Amino acid sequence: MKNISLLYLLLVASLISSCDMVENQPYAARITGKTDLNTIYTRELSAAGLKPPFSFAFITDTQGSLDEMRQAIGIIRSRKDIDFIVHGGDLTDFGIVKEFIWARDIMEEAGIPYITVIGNHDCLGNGNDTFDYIFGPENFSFNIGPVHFLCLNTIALEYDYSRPVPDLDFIERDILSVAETNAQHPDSITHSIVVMHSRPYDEQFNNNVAKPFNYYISQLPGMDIGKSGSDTCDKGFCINGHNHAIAVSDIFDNGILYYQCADMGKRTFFIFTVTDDGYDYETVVF
Amino acid sequence: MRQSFFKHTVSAFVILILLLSPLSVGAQSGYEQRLERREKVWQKLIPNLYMLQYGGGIATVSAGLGWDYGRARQWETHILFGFVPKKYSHSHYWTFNIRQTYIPWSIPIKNIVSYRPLTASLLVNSILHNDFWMSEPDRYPHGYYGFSSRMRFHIAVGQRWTFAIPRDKRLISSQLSVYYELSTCDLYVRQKFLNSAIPFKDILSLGFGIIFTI
Repeated sequence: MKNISLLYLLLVASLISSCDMVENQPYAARITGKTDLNTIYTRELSAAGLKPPFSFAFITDTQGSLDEMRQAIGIIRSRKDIDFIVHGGDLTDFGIVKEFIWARDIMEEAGIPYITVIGNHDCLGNGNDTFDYIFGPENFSFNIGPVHFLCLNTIALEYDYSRPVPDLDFIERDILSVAETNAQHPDSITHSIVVMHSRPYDEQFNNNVAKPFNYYISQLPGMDIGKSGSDTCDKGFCINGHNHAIAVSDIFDNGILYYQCADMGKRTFFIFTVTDDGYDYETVVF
Repeated sequence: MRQSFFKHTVSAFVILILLLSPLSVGAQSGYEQRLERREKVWQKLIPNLYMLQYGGGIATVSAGLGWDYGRARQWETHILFGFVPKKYSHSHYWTFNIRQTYIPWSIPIKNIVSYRPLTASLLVNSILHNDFWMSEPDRYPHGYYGFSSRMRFHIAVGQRWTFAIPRDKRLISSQLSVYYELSTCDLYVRQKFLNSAIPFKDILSLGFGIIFTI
């Protein structure tokens, strides 16, 4: 009987060593698999030689809606006309390590590049550090042909306004570098798309700088009404999540539209198709 | 009213005198008996369990002390401090844990080993770091998140094998137990309940450890 018991003990011990279920703490769990994804995928996208027309899906606020997210990724994959995915933040409910990994692994199923901005829920506990480790920079930009993407951390309330969020210095440097590119190669960048989780005048946004933020954003190529005579910018727009409802708003009455997508729980996402002359968007409800 | 107050005061005074004065003489004075009684009471609060744990969803390594009680010593309370070294996470973390365990059966095996086929525990885990709050900071509108990032509730089941240490080989304890524990926490359970896409093994955490019984 004693031998059986010891044998059993050895069995359990081998089980323990063979699987990686030994966990530290939900917020300090080991991070396995791909990391620094924003850096990897923006590099991949810039190098892919994509030119308009191209399409990307915008999904956001997938927190706690992983089943719906998996369905959405399935739809995106099966369409075959979508080149990459943009995630608008709030991948998690509580910022625990496993939530980030679950969301990442479902995004990986798409088999196409994806980029992610940070949401307020992703900041909870030490979630900000986990986001930075898995997804990389919170502020970054890249170009796909003539289209400039500027992705920003806008969740100022999480830091109690103690960090420069949105980082206007970063935005200014980005605008200068775009201007420099255009000075060297005229009209090489004509479109701009700004991605953020929370938009100006949300409770998360630092509304003290809402207008300066708008001022900077409007300096980007395509963020002007142009010669077409239309009320809105043809080649520039912003996309955001956070408010769990669809809304298309010209917040500053200057033609820059903010496309706000509903959360994944509402089984909704956007598809944007960028062309040489402008862009189109479609709402997918599944 | 006044009379009864007086009566009570007198009787209280008499009791006090009886308690304080060494009236009873014999082998042991009242004073000594009371000292002994006092020591017995406080002795019950001396922990008789010491433990070390690896993993288990509360920290990388934890060390603690505890008490067993109940007719068959089927109840245990443990207090554990846990540590996560920086190499496993973004920073090093300390955790504080209280675990309440119920052990319904103890099966003696040849007087040397006893086997406990089930230990069931509830555990409160608190991560001692400024990034985590017990209740939401004032900057948020009331009930913005509605949870505490600092306090986690775990449930665990496990098994335990206890070895009696022969008298001549005892150093610090009379018994040594080894155990393992499979646990999950409140947030994992919620997410698994809402999302079938989550693999079941992802919400489970394995821990194992040793317990010295004094």
